Amino acid sequence: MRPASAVAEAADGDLEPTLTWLADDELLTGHVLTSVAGWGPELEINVAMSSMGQDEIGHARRLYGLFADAGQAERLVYERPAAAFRAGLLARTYPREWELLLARQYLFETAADARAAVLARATAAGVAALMAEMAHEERYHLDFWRTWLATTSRRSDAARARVQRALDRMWPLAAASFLPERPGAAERALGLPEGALSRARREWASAEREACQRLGLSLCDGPPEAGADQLGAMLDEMRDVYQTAPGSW
Amino acid sequence: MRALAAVEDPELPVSIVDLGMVRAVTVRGSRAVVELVPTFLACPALWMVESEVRRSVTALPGVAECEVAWRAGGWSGADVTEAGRRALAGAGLAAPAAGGEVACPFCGSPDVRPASPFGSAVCRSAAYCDRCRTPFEVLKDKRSTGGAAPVSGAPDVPAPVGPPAGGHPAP
Repeated sequence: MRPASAVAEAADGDLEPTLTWLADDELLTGHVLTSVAGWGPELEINVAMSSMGQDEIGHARRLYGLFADAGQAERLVYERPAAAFRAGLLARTYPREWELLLARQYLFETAADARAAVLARATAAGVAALMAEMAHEERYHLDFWRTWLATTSRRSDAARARVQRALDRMWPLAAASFLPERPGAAERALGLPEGALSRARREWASAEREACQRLGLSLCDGPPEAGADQLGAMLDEMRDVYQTAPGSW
Repeated sequence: MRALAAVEDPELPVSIVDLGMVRAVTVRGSRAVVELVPTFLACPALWMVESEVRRSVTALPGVAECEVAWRAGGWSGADVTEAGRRALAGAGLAAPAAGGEVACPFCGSPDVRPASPFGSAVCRSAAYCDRCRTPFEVLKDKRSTGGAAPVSGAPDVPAPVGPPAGGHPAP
């Protein structure tokens, strides 16, 4: 499906890697949500996770579509070596516990929202309009995870303690994932002012510390934990059916 | 436009025209360009809509080629026409009015409340009519997402019931 204002060719060598980073984050998050839908505390939460996961995968497809046709995008998802993925550390986590998923998604969505506000001003063709539309749709996600962070952490001291332990593990990964590998190059490729993404990161970190503090939670800086990267396991799951007949789909 | 009015959304009993998806139609010689806006970016039926639009338009006399161009966004459930609302109501679905108001598709009452922002498809949320006591779904407004509707069961969250993961102490 060709967008009305597609980026026909990534003339700037840094644009495609930047768009790939954004798309890979969405793809892996969509895989996590659709895979763990069913493990949430209650039915409606599982319905929500399934719906949000579908949104994320759809957003990934649109982002890949800014520089790749449908066939190329399929190969990016199903045939690209793991080492070529550009997703951030947070998107590579694959929690199977409610509080860890809650912390992951809360931080992922707040970061995506903060970045979207900057990316909606990108001058690279097709990017701003797509990011703005994604932000409209992910507002439902953001509201959901904010509600559940508050709900879970207010339920009891024990619940808040579990949420805090989850944030202790996820925050360093989220902080390390906000920016792309080369922020300056990405900003130039997207047509953003220099330092725009770094400023957005600082404002996001400050805002989230305040928001968590109001819930009796804290965001503690530290090194990302080793072993959090589950990309290999995710790709194995994602490609299991495809591998039975590569090129036939 | 008559040709496009014959194209229905694969998942809803309403034409893409009444759904508010058709934004512009241009014809130059034998070539038509139809600009559509997706309901939601992740809608799995969009490729079917595109295929049906091409088929329907190229079946018209004098049209040899039809290009479908997708805008990045701009759709809302409030874009559904009055005819579209009636068609959706017949299937138990509501579409918000321009101001975001929702009426029960079964009894018409405005005495409804949101049940969940997520329904059976990415474009739908769940609601409940307090007058006729019937649950129903609503096409999401998307342009005015102010605050999450409570998910049933909140704020008392039961203990996780997923596969065991080392166990959690009871809250």
